[in-house]
Amino acid sequence: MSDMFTYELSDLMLFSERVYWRLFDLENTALWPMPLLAPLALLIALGLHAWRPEAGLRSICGLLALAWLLVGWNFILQRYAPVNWTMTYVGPAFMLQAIAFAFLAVRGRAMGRNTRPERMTGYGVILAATLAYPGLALWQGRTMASAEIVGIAPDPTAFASLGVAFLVSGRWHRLAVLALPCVWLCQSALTLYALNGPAAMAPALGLGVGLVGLILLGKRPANPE
Amino acid sequence: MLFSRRTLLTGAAAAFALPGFASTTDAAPLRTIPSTGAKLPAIGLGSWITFNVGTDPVLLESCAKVIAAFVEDGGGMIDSSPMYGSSQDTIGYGLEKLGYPETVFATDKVWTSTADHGPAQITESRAAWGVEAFDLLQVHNLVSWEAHLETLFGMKDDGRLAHVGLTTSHGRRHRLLERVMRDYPVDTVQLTYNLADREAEDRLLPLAREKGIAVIANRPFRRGALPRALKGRPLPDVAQELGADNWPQLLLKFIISHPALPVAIPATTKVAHMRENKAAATGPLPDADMRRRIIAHFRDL
Repeated sequence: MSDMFTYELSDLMLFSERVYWRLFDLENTALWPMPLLAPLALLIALGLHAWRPEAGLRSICGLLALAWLLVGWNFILQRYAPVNWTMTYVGPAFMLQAIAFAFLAVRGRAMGRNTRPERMTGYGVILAATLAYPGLALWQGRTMASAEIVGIAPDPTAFASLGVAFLVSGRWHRLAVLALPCVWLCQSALTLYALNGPAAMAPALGLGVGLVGLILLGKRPANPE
Repeated sequence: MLFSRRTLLTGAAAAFALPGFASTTDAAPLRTIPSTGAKLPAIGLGSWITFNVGTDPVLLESCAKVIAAFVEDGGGMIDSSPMYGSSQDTIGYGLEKLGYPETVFATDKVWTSTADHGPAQITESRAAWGVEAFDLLQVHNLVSWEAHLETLFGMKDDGRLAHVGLTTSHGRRHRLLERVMRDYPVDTVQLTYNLADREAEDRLLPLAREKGIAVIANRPFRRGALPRALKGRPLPDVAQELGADNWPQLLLKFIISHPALPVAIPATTKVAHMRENKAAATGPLPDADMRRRIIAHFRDL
């Protein structure tokens, strides 16, 4: 077992970068027009939140519950696990996260009176995950066919989930939407670092946001004002 | 050498005594596994990372082309492992398209820390390849090696397996490998050996020759890092004498010229690279003096 610590990160990679990005290409094609509808639905729910916060937050959490369920089943277990057997063990964790979001969607007590900076941060994170994340494909020299899209791909779905932490109240509620996305983004950053250094920046940034959220939200009372 | 699902296993002795490589058009001389006399080409085909393409139809087709070209150029050892994601399925896909050619030396591994799961895993591997039996099964990275060796030697005794081997990589667990080589009648060992990783020369390769164990070289290019690092660097003078046009060919010629090493298993996703690798076994190979000059040149770079 001590041998494990003498391996480099790249030695542990089971697949190539080409194979990794092709997964998104295939997934987007297989689920079309979901790659268009999923972000649109999240944007509508975000708009609803600005108008009627409780209904909006319930909608966002409901959509993310569906997103974690679909990403866990379709992408993690059906698409990713064949090239990365460790994902077989990760799939069930996505189902747990889906349950956590479903719980928040149903349970109105998760809704809190957040400060304006918190709400703006939450909106910003969700907007970045929904609108900016797919554009990374172009920045990385790929086509939009292999774009990572919220509700279809795990990284932007985890990133968007972090934004919800700034919209809900209660430490346990926040922890429920921060913990697993942070763990996922951490492993994703390590994977992409081993495959292609610069591509790791996006999930690493997401992880940074999540960690800041954990630190800041852990210090403040459950219901301010 | 290779049994498809449609082939009846009528007796290992008869089957393994009839290698299909005799008809190969490859001018390279075949190599011999000392313990059984089985013969196979010096350049095999690895599948670590390169063949792990999941269910991607485009990439599956691309890998099938590499396998087809490999078979066309004489075939030989194709090596995989249950650890390599979907590589076994990819090989099965490629072989099925070719009608399970006789010139493939089917080589796989058992890789599970649960000793009792070994036989079931071997059955799963056979199903993925679409073959009735493997030519060589190895204990992957010496994981649970005692229990798995017992399983593999049992299969060999029953005529269900031709060769039993051990693997390690990255220069790890050499002491244990040496001990097992001394104490068990294994047919092959697979280890990392290339121009930059020559630790095995000290003890393991001489021991392999002494015991009549065939050595299979993995990571001949350090997963492509060696050719990348050497790109643009001058080849040594001996390259011309050896007919090596580029570094990958010289690296392979260096490996397979060691008398303890019958086979190297480079992995690739490109047909052109596969053919280039195969070509390394044709023409002259470096003798002891040339090997020293290649090592000296490499050190000076």
